[in-house]
Amino acid sequence: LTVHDEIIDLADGKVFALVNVYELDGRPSSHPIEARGYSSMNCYLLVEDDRAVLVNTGYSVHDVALGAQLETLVGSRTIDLALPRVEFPSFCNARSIADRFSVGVVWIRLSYDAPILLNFRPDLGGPARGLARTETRRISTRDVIPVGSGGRELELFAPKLRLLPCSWAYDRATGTLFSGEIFTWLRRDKPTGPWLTSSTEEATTSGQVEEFLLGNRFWWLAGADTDPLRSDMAAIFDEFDVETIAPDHGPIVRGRAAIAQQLAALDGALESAKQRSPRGLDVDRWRFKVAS
Amino acid sequence: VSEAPTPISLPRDIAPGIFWLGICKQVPGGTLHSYSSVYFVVGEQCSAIMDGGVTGEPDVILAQIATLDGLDFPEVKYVFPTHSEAGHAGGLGKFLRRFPSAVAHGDVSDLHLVFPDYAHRLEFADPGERFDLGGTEIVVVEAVFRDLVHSRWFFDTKRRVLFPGDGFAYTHYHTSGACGHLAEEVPELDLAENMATFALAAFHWAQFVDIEPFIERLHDLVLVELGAQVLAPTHGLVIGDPALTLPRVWEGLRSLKQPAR
Repeated sequence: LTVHDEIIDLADGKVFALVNVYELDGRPSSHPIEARGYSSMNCYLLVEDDRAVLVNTGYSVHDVALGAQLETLVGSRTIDLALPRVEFPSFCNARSIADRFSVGVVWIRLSYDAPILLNFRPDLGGPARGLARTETRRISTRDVIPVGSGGRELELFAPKLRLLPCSWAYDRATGTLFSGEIFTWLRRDKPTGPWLTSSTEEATTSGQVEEFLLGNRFWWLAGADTDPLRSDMAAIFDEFDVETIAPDHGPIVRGRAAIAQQLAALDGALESAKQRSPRGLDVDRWRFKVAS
Repeated sequence: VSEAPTPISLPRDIAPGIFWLGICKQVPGGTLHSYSSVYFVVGEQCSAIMDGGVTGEPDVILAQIATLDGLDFPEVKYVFPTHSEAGHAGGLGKFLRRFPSAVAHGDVSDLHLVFPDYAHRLEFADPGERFDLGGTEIVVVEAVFRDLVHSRWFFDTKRRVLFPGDGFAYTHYHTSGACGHLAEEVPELDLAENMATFALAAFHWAQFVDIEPFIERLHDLVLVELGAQVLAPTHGLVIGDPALTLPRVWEGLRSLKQPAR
């Protein structure tokens, strides 16, 4: 199930994407079930001299590969874990990372302590000794996670365009926006990627983005009042000077022209979705086995 | 003024051979509580676990099931996750390890990436599929109120209990002694307010759509088509009298307002 992995340096050694690829075969919830090809689970390591912050811990199936990626980058630093979603892409490898590396703070959204919430994998026996040594902090609506002791900060906020409770994060030091489940529509025919794009030749259309959104997690957008979602998205990109969009899944988008293209495609998709007939009840008639 | 009830610890039987499992968790910052419940369903031939549990509670759930051993329940052959969110499938790996004959049927999106050792025991299920427990069946039902798109609900045909996962989700106040009670047993329960509280946090999408078609479909499915006598949600107190209580649910859904970012 681990088909390809790679490390991408996004900002001169300050942010690394830890990319682990998975096949789109109808089963991943990141994409419509008809989607084929490959996407990636992206974790991000923000590095300072004295400390590092890992955004997401990825899927269990990537445990060994992710551990090897961290081994090459972390050194003697303590890692803080930022888990901005209440879903498995944030959760799965927190325990194995804490068992293997020095982990300080675990930032989570739910009302459990990290050693309880994140000790759920049946293949990891015994008590969660690594997590037991960590401090649990809860993410609130707008929060700041320090990255090292030099004043660098990861700014957390909740976008209006979301399915489940989640935070996006912005690293002002590198202009990197961590966009969770959004900007995840790009996929690849080959597991080798490329998983970083700065090209406007992706040819992403608003129709493609709309099909992606309505075909899966954002089924509810059809016929919805998308005006507040569009204005909120515009406000996010007005407030933050984004040089790199770093989504949880799929290629990372770097460069202002490429970002503008993806943002325009998203805005067009949201505008078009509003004009559609609601399909919230039609979704109940979708059949997994037929469609897949 | 009615006296506040005394909280009840789980497990609790909510119908003959159906047990409510889980623990009441405080929502950060107040006296609000919520559940991530799982239900244990006993048939004549085999047993089933309804929903897959939150990642923080599989050991608690398995310990509670162990306390039911005196009932000599038949082998667990099924686990029915309503959807693959970590709050509804987080216990699945440990459940499948504990019950080696069990297969999970429901929305199992992503779970081959989460529990790869058990990928061969994960099956998608579509509305209309039926699973025989002996003396009763579990029928897969459309998930009218959902987050993940392939969510599924489940219905026990003999005891007419609906397991709606994220449907009918609401918080409750610990101070009102509500923990472990049916909604109808808690006089102080402001179900509409608590439903809106939960929905604003967890079902963000509901603020941006016309909610009336959902209410209409929920009414028809629960009261007319299924004739459900008990609603056993993952995140709320069990509803023991749907016809009496659902109007308060509709009130809560209609009260959703768009919060500031």
